[in-house]
Amino acid sequence: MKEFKVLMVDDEEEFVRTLDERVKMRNLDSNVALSGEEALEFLEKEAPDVMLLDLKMPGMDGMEVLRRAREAYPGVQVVMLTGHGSDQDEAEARRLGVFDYLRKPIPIEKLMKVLKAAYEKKVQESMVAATFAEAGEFGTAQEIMDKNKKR
Amino acid sequence: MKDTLFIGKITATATHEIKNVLAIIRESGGLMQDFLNMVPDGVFQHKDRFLKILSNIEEQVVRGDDISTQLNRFGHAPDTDVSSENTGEMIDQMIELTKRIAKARQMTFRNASGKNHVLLRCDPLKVRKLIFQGMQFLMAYGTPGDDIAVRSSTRDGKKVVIEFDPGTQKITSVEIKKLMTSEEWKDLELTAESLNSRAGMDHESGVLCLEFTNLNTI
Repeated sequence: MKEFKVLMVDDEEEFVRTLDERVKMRNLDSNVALSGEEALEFLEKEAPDVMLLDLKMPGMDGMEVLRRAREAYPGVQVVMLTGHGSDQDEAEARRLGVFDYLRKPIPIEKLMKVLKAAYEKKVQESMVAATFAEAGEFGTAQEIMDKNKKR
Repeated sequence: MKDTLFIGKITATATHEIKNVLAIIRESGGLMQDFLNMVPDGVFQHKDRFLKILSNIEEQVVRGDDISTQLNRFGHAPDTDVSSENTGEMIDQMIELTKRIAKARQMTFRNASGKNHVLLRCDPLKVRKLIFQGMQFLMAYGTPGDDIAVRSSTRDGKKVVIEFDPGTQKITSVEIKKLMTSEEWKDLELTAESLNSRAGMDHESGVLCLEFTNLNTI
């Protein structure tokens, strides 16, 4: 039984496939998308818990994917992993609600820690919203979901 | 397009690609480590040797990545004519990128600026050039074995100062006066003047000082 589902998005195929294999060896259900467009297609069909997203990609870049994902799939926690993002890129990603902003290269154990923390945040948020929904306070549950979406 | 912008653009693009190459090497090495760690002890007699080699590869990848990061930032220096630059970061950058030249002279430079951020509104490329010229001057006339502390600070809340301190003074004040008539020094002074800054060398301590007076500090 895998711990949780991750989607890794990067146009550097050799890099992302190798990382995918290492993450799978650490008991996560890891999946790969090689472009922003491919990532959004995946999100439409499946529900990853965490998305690891490269910033600079041909076609739709990571920032646009982040923007769309936070809008349409607020339950998915997004972690940026970039080689050359500027401080402005980081500020913009945080404004859009990224869980963490990491720079390549990153040791695998540190990456695993961040992915797990992102997953825990998702679980906590879902639990809080579910508690209000169970109590019949659908408005509050919706507010929590909306707040998470904007964060 | 200005020549410097062209060189910077190509440098920044190429370093981005180099970083990608290094990331693949790092993850591939990491995957091999993962597999080796799954092998029970005693089954593969060269396991430890292989793990050590992979660890060496990882160290060198980190080293290459640091150089690549600094070179990428350097490549972006000509992007603007004026911007707010962190002097500590510029010093780090020039030390990292000129390590090889300093090593050939058996000298080391270290950033002794501490954690205080000194921001300088300046021409980013020219200030880097001036820092490099300061280092180059000391490399030409310093003594092998010198460990030079480079530190930036503010003075009177208005001036930004970058000092190159060789520690123990090994040359006489007469020699310093002579050095200040050299072509290298004149060249350094010219760059300093174009930045409305001043270059000086203390005859007693041998500390080379770059003082930025007319620029706005933030």
